[in-house]
Amino acid sequence: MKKGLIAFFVVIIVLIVGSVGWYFSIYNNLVTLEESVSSAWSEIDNQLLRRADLIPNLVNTVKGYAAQEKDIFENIANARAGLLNAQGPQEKIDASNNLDSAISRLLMVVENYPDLKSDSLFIQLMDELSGTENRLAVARKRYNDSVREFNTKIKTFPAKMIANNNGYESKPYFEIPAASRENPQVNF
Amino acid sequence: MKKLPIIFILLVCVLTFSWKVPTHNGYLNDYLNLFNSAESNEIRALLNNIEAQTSVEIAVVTLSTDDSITPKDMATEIFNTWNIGKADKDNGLLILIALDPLERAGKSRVEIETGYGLEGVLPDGKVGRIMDDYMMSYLSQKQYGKAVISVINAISGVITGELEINYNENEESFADIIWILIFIPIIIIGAPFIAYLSKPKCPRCSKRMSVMKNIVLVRATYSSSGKGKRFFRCRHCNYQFERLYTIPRKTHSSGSSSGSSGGSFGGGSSGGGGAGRSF
Repeated sequence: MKKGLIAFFVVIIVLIVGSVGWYFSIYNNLVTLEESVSSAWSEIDNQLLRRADLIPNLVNTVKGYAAQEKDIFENIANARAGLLNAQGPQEKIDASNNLDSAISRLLMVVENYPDLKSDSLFIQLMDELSGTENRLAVARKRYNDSVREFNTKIKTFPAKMIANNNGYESKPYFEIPAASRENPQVNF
Repeated sequence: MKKLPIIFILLVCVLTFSWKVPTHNGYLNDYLNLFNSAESNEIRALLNNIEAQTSVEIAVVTLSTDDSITPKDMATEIFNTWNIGKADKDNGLLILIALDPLERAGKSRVEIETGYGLEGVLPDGKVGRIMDDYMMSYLSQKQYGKAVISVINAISGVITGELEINYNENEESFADIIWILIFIPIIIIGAPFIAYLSKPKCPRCSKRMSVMKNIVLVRATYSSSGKGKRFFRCRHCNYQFERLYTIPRKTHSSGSSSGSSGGSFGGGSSGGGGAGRSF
């Protein structure tokens, strides 16, 4: 009888210790995943900022050849300001997509100015801009990968319970609207 | 919104299944046999030489274009699968010639992708400029070997600082100068202050004491730390005492520790930097 009781308590203690350990391992896993989402996001942030920094130079160069396209310059300036003022991933994603379409309108106009297309500063700025776009694409893929891993984790049992208790919410994907996937490219 | 992840996963599956990163054999991977043997040998010698001198790893790849993937994505995939460049420096560079199977004008593309560690010496604008000045005229005449040799020479010239490229610096440096102007006074004022605070107080009159001399008891080696004795003296009341301190282990000055012979890559990565041209 006494032996049975001891065995019972041992089993209870093992269960408690085991489940506490299990809880923390899942919790730590969630923290790690969330951390990798935010570090992937900070790389996107970097590239968004870098692109915003390039735009005034690009606009000034284009202005030298195509000063009459006032609407386009204004659009770009607004979209750029929108991106710089945006807070948090969702707003920044939207603002970045706005800026994308403003830039693609600028690049369509560029096709009408052959002198501009052969300007060495313009070529350099376009290389920098498309380099930034490429980096952004890589950063976006890495971000979406880590978001998918995080979102899947917090939506599946058992991590779902722990995530709900600790207020974890799913993160937004960085999607680009279908229209802007086919950016007009300036080909040299 | 719920459907988007599924679409995304499908897209990734499509991308990964229709085109695969090929396996590499050394720095030069001329899958299309665009170079004759003399050119291949010269390219290999150049690449080995650059690696030996600067530890920069340059890979040259020729492939056919593929409808399922852009040449730029091809370059990034290859770069990060082969891990071109040393892991601690990310100093890899990839030259990819993606040739249109029918060799139609304007459908082929050359991409030069830079690892994170080379973005400083080779910003995208400069890479584009180098391609325009040293590569494109050969490529338009289908002299692929000459184009690659010429561009490798230009790139190694830029890396070693022997070649100047006409490049318009961006005006970002202004912001950096402001930071430097802010930090220098902080360091100038802060360093002596921290040094002062780290001196022990005199047990008798509680003024800061000064170091009289250090004696090394056990020399530090590459494998173990050393020990020394430090003598303090109070300038105020002449009280003296000594204290033991540890001398940190010697470290080798950072440098490439990998003795890998020409051919295998060192674990570098890239974030998609570089530039490309159609021809």
